[in-house]
Amino acid sequence: MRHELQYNDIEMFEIYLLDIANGSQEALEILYNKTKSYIYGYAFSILKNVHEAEDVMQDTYVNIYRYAKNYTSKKKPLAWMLTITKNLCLNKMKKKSRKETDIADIEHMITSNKKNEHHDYVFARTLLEDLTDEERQIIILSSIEGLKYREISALLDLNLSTVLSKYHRAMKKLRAKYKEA
Amino acid sequence: MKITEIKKSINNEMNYLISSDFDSVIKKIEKRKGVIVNMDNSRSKKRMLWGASLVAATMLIVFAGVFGFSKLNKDNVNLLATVILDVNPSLEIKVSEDEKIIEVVTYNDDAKKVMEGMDLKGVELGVGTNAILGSMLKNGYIDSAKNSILVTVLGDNQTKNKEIQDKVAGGIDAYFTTNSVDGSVMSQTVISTSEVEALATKYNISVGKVELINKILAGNPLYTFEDLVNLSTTDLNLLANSKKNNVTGITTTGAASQSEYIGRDRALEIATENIKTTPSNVKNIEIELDYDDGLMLYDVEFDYNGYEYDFEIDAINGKIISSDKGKEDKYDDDVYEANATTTGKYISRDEAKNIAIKHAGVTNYYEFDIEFDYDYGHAVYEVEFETNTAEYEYIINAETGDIIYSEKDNEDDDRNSSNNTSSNNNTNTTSTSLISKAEAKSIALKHAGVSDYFEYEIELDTDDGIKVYEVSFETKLYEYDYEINAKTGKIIKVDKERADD
Repeated sequence: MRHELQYNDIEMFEIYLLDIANGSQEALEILYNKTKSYIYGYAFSILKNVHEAEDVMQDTYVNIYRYAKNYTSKKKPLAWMLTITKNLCLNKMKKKSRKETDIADIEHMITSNKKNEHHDYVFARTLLEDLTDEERQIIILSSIEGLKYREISALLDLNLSTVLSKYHRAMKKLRAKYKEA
Repeated sequence: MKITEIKKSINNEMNYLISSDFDSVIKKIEKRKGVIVNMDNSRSKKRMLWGASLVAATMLIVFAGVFGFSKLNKDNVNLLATVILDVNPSLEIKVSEDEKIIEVVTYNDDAKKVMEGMDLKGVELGVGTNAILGSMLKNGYIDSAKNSILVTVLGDNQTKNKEIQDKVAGGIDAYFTTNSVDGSVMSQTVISTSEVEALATKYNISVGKVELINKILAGNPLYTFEDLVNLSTTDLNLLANSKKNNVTGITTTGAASQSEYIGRDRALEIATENIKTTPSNVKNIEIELDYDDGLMLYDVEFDYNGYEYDFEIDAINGKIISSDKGKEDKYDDDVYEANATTTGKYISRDEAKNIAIKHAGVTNYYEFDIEFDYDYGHAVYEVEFETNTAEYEYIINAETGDIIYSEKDNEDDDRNSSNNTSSNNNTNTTSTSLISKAEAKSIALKHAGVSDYFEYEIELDTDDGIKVYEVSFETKLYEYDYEINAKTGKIIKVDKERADD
């Protein structure tokens, strides 16, 4: 079932991109709602900063809107979008005086965010505290429905087998952490 | 906790961390100067022209004279369009409505040298362009290694721009042919924006080059502007026309010279030599030029002896930058599994399931999940299931059926707490009282009124603390998704969609 749904989603993303290329902000909004957590998560996993991740997430959609007409990579809309995110993150990281790890920011969010006061952010914390940079990005990308390991390994410029073994190691850490919490 | 649940939780947490909404994206889009949504929109057009008039100070007078006020310059000639030529010399030709040259503006010293002693004012555009090309050839700016020229047309009227683009690019191509130059012409029309102007001014390059770089970046966002800004027109041509980069909006005739590089054939030779074979023995060859970390390189991929190889080779000195070897077709897990199981190379899902269940020694289990994967150099099945007392995870070698890895976790805290609540509630909520999969299936099928179906799947899931069966199947016309309360058999959710295509 999951694979069938994924396939449909990917197809739908391509249709949205077509509409966006023709200037449709409605299509952009639908795509945004369906994929923002992926885009945000990936930016967060690279930048380790909630504010910068939010900024990059927004800019990703600005660029998608701008460049949708150039999208041609058949059947890989997510990889295309995530590559834009990655590039924006790399640009951000070139800037000086960045603040990286912001566990404090997350703590602040947990205590101030009334909407989700029961949410303890076990995974967001663990991602920052216990995983290496690569593990964190792999976990985030592998949690994106419809993104293949092959596309993950291309995005991260790692061998497929490396991605898979790191993925299993990191998943183990996450499970262990979840049991503690 | 199952892997799928962890993934779901991660996505949820990421969603919670987002504090802005879609409006902030729209605001950013609108704030970006020069993003022209609809080119027929008169407001954007005005903005575009105003942006264009902000270009370098030397051109300000001409632009203001032409666009801003009377559409006439001092000599009472109407400006039709501006043609920018980039080789390494970079210059701009202002064209009148009768397609004669109003003036030529040089952007760099090389262009000054090209234009030395030439006055093309009033000369027909085609004749003038040929004169400029002749001078570029004579001065050695175009040769067999540097053989690419970029033509960019800027102007008020897109249809006219397109005409001029074809005329100039075609003229240059013809000039190359008659003069036996193996040249390549890239051409584009451009709506100039203040953002593009700013980049042009910052890097001291033409608006045309900025646009070309932007188009390459849009096709391959892995590059950065800084990466590409110092590349020659010929190198940019190679990247713009590399299949890797999906660049659109550029018309190219001829092919960029690779004479400064070792060439695709040599790159393939180097790669095959490395694995002690020859190009004729490998198949599914793909070779593309790429640019990475300041290096032009060939990305060479091919299949050989059941393996897929990927080499990166320095385009100038032929050094192997990186190489990668993997099992052929390893990537498309679904196809791989389907092929392998039908040809009997791998055990089936059912066999894998039986191996795991037998090893665990259990009879009653639920939350069963099996996935095919390629891991640690093996094709494997990842099997997960739960009993009332433990969670099991197996990794089983799909070729041999050997258990590579097994894990048994006795039920942890969260299970205990849910047991507590259920006993407090005094309702009958233990997992043993669930309806069977067959019952859930017949509930769904009966509700759908369907007897002929395919792609049937059922999975037990926990949604908001309630055990549900997720049932899905397809008919020729529709795709059905049901969520059924696993205790009561009540249908919680139905989703019926047209099966397109």
